[in-house]
This record gives sequence, structure tokens and C-alpha cells, in this order.
Amino acid sequence: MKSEHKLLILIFILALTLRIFFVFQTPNFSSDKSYYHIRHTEHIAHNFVPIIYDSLSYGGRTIVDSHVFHYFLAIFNLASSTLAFKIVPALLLSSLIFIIYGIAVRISNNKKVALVSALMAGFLPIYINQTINQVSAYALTLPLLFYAIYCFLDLKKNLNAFIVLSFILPILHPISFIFSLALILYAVLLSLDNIASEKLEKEAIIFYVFITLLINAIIYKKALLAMGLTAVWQAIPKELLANYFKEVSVVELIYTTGVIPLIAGGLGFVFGVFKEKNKNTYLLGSLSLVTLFLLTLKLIDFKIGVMFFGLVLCIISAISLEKLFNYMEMTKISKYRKTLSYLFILLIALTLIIPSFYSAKGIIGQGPSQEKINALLWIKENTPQISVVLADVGEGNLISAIAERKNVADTSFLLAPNRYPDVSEIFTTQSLAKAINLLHRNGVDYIYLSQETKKSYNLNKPAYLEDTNCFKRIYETETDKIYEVVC
Amino acid sequence: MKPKLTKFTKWYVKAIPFLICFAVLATTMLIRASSRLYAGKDAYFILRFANDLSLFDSLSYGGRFAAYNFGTPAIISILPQQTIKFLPILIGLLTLLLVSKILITIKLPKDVQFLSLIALSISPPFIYLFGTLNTYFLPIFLIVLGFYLFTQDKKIYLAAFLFVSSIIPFFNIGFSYVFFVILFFYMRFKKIEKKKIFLYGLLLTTFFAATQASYALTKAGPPESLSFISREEGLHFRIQTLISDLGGVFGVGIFSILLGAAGIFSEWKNKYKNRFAFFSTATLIVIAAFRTETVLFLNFFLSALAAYGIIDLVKREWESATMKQFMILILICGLIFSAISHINQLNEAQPSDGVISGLNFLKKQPAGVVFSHYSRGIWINYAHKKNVMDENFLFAPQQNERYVDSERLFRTRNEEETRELVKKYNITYVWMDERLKRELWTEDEDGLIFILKYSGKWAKIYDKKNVEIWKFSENQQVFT
Repeated sequence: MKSEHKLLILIFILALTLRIFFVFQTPNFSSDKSYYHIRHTEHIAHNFVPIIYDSLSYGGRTIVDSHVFHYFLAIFNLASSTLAFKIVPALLLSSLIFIIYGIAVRISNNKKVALVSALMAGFLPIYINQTINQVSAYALTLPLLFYAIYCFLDLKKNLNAFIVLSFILPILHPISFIFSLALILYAVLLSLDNIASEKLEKEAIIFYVFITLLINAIIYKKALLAMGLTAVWQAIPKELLANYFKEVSVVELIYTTGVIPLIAGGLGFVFGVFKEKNKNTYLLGSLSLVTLFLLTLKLIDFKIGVMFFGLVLCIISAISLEKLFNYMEMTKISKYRKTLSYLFILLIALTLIIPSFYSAKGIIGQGPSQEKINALLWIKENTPQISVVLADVGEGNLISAIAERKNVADTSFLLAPNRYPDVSEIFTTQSLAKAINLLHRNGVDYIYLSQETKKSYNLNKPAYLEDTNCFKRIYETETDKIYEVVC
Repeated sequence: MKPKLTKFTKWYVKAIPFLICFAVLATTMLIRASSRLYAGKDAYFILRFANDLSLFDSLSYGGRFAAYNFGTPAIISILPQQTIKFLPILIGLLTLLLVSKILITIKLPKDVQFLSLIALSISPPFIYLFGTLNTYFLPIFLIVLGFYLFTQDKKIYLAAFLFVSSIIPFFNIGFSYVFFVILFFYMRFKKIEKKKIFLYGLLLTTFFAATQASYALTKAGPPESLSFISREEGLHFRIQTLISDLGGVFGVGIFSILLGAAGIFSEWKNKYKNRFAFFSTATLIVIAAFRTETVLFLNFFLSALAAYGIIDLVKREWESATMKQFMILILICGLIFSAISHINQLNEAQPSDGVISGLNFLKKQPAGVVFSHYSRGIWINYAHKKNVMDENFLFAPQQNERYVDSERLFRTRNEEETRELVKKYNITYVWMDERLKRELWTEDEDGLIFILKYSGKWAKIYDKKNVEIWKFSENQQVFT
């Protein structure tokens, strides 16, 4: 086996080890949305059909989801839930390294430099932050999306794979639309720069754009009819939108993507587009530009956008790094080639690997604590099955998945009634009458007050909960309390 | 020896677009449960007005000059009730036949003609036009008829064209002028020497339009300009209205737009030959930005352009045969999906079962004025009751004052104020449905809801399927 391949496998093992090490630090998961995916996967594993009408979410509503990812995980869930929810996502996310390597080789023709790109991508802080210990469709979508990019770069060899991926990606996750936009921009940029594009490429672009449009129109038909273009914002309440779609901050961008990918990626873009007129760079540059464009318009989640941007920069870095290493070979510095390589790796370790490590540690700590899980299990065992439990929106999926009770609101906002104002009002109001009115309006039987909810609303405890005529405290720990609504 | 018939000359091939058209329109009409009658509001206005054709509308705004387009209700009024449901389908088939004749006259290639007709018959605007009872289907039919007559050379056809031009204003004045814009482009770019006929037609149209308008002005006085926003504005809303996949009731499908764009690209090399189509399309797009109903005209051109787009994509040599086959499949699926989605949208459109049941109940109640939001006004009239306000704003009496009073009545918790407004408009009933409550109030017992529940003067006489009807009684103390 070639040494580059051995090193690549080593990088993969290191990345996988990091992920596996952290995911097994806790039996829980680090995002509320993970529990949404887990519940749906388990339902499919037991019943072989997806949940179309979810009786627990928002007290009962239709779910808009293709469920392909859930079916995929359900296959593994039949063997073991640890395999399905901990190991498989880690494997898939780490496998991105191979694909990044393949793309980087294609654009730079330099395997050593491609290894560096793969190393950077595997340990990109934002990539770790957004994917570690989380059950998310990105685990499957990202590798497949980048593989589609790889196939597009050599359509003659990989046409069938590209066609298959064109069907799978839109069904998997709507983020695949970014690739559609990137392909359109790619075609436009080539045309503006009078660069001839192959006929097969043009056909592939038209094909991918049309199939993505059709599949997304079918899956999200109800949402598009009900909400029109605003469906793109996923019906996120405007009060929460500020958190989802942040203003683009340069400092955060540098920290989460790393200095090296930013600088090397930027230089790579300049070399590739303006000096070499490298078509492959145009494609990757288009993807970056589209991502940045959508970020500035706040049309995609900030962290997801930055993650895409960072991964693409890692790939494009291969161009500038290849130039840098070739230049170094021509100078006297080439004597110190090995030392410089080690220094460079050290730099990557300092700016990417170590921040990734700490990022992963932080994310693991953000997951639900065992006390929270215990509280939710208590709800499951001590309340009637048809109860409605009020919790913060960010804990709604936990209520459904672990406590197996109806929630008032969760983070699946699409086609759901907008209850965030009610939930927010209930937790912040000082008026008993108002609280009772809202609780009755939403049919709430129990209130789950967690430490996170108190932090989120910056409160100790709503004063009206002291009224024992209306609220009975039935569970209490240091961090979590559960109240029954008795009036 | 008989010449071998090509695929486009065999008789059954010509029938295919008409069969598809009939199947689509009939499905649209029949799929809607009989309990929910027709989709939208137009149908209820037409049916009600057809039964009471008069220059004075005694129900709208409590009584006002009927400044409406009489054409469609007049036609409906002379037809038996049982045939009304099928009239749009029949007119749709006739329209498609006329379009096929027009396409032959303007010498489009046979394959383009065939595909244009199919694309047209499954397009969402066409489905809306001829799959539901609305105020646009007859004027559009007359315009297509007028265009066809204009393209013929015999004097009798031209005389018929003049007759049709003169009656279109009775169906829709705005449409009649859009028609002449298209006709102008046709004449100009196809170098048709019929200026006199064109001008006579335009003069007749203007004469009858002006007669209608001046009569309305004389009877109802100058129309008030609305001081409130009667419908959503903004670029986003307009885009939504123009595209059926984003919720537009008579919008075009996204795939039609994409294929139309592909058609423009493929025919751009022949732009000088196709100036009529390009200029008409461009002009209609501009007008549609201001008057969204124009998209109903645009759809005819878009269907032809989409046909060119499909043919270009199919005839083009693809490097990958697999991608080509999938592409054709995607296009067909895209067009069919838009059609099915739109039929479903029309099926689920308001009024709901609950609203129809409520209206049937209201019909049986003694006469009286029903107060509700103006968007419910036309339905209220269908139940043979007067409304305070509805969406027929043109030449409506005191519409701004009524709007302000309506808003006061919705918001107030003051019994005195409520009583004053109830007396002013002689309100006997209040119509409330779940959607209205969600739209107007954030609290369960705000404004008028509070008054209805707790003032003691109102009795809830109907409460089913999310519709409530309240009745006012000044003298009695009624506890709900």
C-alpha cells in the first residue's frame, strides 16, 4: 500500500478515534434534534412505517420529512441502537476524509497536499462542533454531497454514481439545494470567463437542478403551499430566528474554521480562479460563494453554513499549499523540508486539532445531564400517557422521545402552530391569570422547569408557581422541577 | 397508394390533448366533495348574482349599485342549475379547440402544437380557469375566440370578431385591453393588414367599457380609493401569487416556467421570426407584476414556449442517454406534479365543510344583516343575507368608513360602542370562524369575542365545525 494511503487511513482512524472517544463519554446525545431522529428511527425499526402524523409533537401534527435517513439508521438499529446512533454517524462523518482527499487530489494533482486537506477537514472545529455526538442527517448527507462533487469533477468515469446521488441527495436533506445553486453559479462563471464547459457537465447541471427541484417540491409541497417562499426559513419563530441566523461574525468565522484553511483556502481560490482558470476551483469557489451568499441573506443556519464554507476551504487549500510546497522545493528552504512539514503539522494541530478537541469536549458537556434524563423518565413512569408536558422549545423533542409524552412545542417548526410566544410568555409572565389562560389554551398538564430553561429565560422560577392551589410540585432535584397543573 | 400517416396525423393523436384536458378538468370539478360546492369565492358571487340579476344589489354592503361585470352571471342565469357545474369544462374544451386552431394558423410545427396543447391543459392556470366556477373563464374564452376570429380572413369571422370585442367588456374590462395589446403585437409582427378591423374592435370595446364605467359613475358616484390594504403587498407575496407551487391559486407551475425559459433559449436564434411571442410574453410578465390575473394570459404563451423547451431537450443530442431519459421523465413528472398538486389545492381550498354548513344554517334564518370580516362577505350574501362589507370594493358605498367601523367592532370591549355600531349597520348576526379568530385576535376573549360572550345581548345560535353564528337581541338578557 502506498504511503499516502497509509497516512490517509491513519488520519481517518485518528478522526474516528476522536469521535468515538467523545461519543462514548456520555450515553446521551448533544442536541435536542438528535432525539427527534432517534424516535423516528426507532419507530421505523419497530413498525417499518414512518411517523407521518406525530401525536406527541405539538400535541399532534403532520411531520414533513422524507424519513430516508431514518430508514437508513433503522437498518442498523435492528442490530443495536449504539451501532445506529453512536458508531454509524461517527463512521460516516469520518469517512468524509477520504472524499475530501479524493477531491483535493483531483484539483491539485498532489497527494501529499491532499493529505493535508483531508487532515484539516477531519479536524475542522466547526465540523466537529456541529456533528459530534449528534444524530443528524448531515452524517449521511455531507459525505454523499462531497462525493457528488467528486463525481462531478470526473463525470466520464463517475456518471452513474452522479446520477444515483442526484436522486438520493434531495430526498435525504434539503441542504442539497446548495449544490444546485453552486452548479448554476459555476455554469454562469465559466460562461462569463469564456471557459468552455463540457457538454456532459452542462447536461449534469441541468439534470441535477431539475431533479432537486422536483423532489423538494414533492416532499415540501404542503409547506410551500402553506407558506410560500418563507418555508425556506423553516417557519422558525422570528424570536428564535436571531439565534438561528446570526450576523456573520469575522472572529467567530476565524475561530471555527481555523486560520490555515481560511488563508490557504482564500489563496487557493485566487490562484485557481484568477491565475490558472482551473475549472475545478470554479466549482468549489461557486460552492463557497453560494454558501456565503446564503449566510449573508440568513437563508441557512449560521453554523451549518460556516461548516460548509470551512470544508470547501480545506479542499481549495490544496491548490495554494501545492504552490507553496513547490516553491519551497525551488528554494534553499527545501533542505529543511522535513522540519517544516513537522512544523506545519504542529501548526495544524495547534489551530485545528486542539480546538476541535476542546470543541468536542464542550459539545459533550452540552448534552442532557443524567439528572435531566432521570426527570424525563420519571415523567414517563408517573404521568398518564395522554398528558401534555410544557418545556422549553429546545427540550420538546426530549419530552417526546424520552418521557414519551405530548409536548407543547419543539424545534420541528415546519407546518407546526406557532406556540413559541405562548411558551415564552408562560415562562416569563408574573401573572397567574395569564399563565393559567395560556396553560389551558395549550392543554398543559405538567410543567417541566429545567436549569436550561431558567438560563434561557433568565429567571429563577415563575412566581405564579408558588400558588399551590394551581400548581403542585411533584418532582424536584437541584436542577429540575416538575409541576402539575391542578386548576 | 395511400401515404403513410405520420404519428401526428393519425386521428387519435389529435384527440389526446382533449382527452387529457377533459380528464383533468372533470377530476378537478368532481373531486371536490359535493358538500363543499365550489372552491373560492367567485362561484358563490356568480351563483348568487345570477339568481338576482339587477342593477341594485340589495345584499352587498346592505344595498348598493351593482357595479359588477354582468357577463358571467348573465350567462349562468339562463342555464339550468344542473349544467352550471359542467359549463367551465365545456368552455375549457372549446378554448383548447380554439387554441389548437390558432396554433395551426400561426404555423407552429405539429410537434410543438401537440405538446403546447398538452402543456396547456395540465397547467395550473388552465385547471383553475376551467376546473372551477370563476369570473375569468368566460372572458378568457371570448378573448381566445376573438383572437381566432381575427386570424381568419372571411368577412363573417371578422364581423363576429367585432361582436365578440364589443361584449368582452361586460365580462372584464381590463382583460379586453390586454387582449388588444396582444392583438396589436400579432398584427404588427406577423404583418397582418387588418388595421381597420383592429381599430373598429378597439373602438367598440372602448365604447362599451366607457358606457359601463360612466353609467356606474352616474349611479354610484366616483369610487373611493381604499385607505386600507385589502390584500398583502410586496415582492414576496406577488411571487407567491404568480407561482402555483408556492400557493398561487392561478399561478403557473415552476416547471412550466423553467421549460418556458428553456424554450426561450432554444428559440432565441429565431427571435426575429418569433417577435410576436417574445414581445407578448415580456409585456404580459410586466403587466402580471401589477395585475396578477394577467398570468392567465401568460400561461398560453408559456405553454407554447414550454413545448419548444421540451422538444429542444428531447431532440438535443445528449452525451448520456441515461440522463436524457431521466430528464424527460423528470419533466413529465414535474408538469404532472404541478397539475396534481394544484387540483389538490383547489380541492382543499375554502370554503370548508364547516363554512358551507354554517351558510346553509344561515340561509334558513330570518332576514338580517350579518357582520363579519369583509373576506366573508360574499359567502354571507350567498346565504341570502346582507353583509356590512365584502371584497367587491369598486363603487362600494362608504367602504373606508365601513372598514374603520368594522375594525372598531372587532377590537372594542366597550358595550356602548358595540351597541352604537350594531345599530348603525342594523346588525342582527355575527359570523365567526376559527380562521378568522386566529387572524384577528391573539387572545381567546379579546374584543368582539368578549362582547359576544359576556354582554348578555348575544346568543350563540350555531356552533359546529369551527363556525359560530351569534344573534343579537336588544331586549332580551341572553346568557350563553
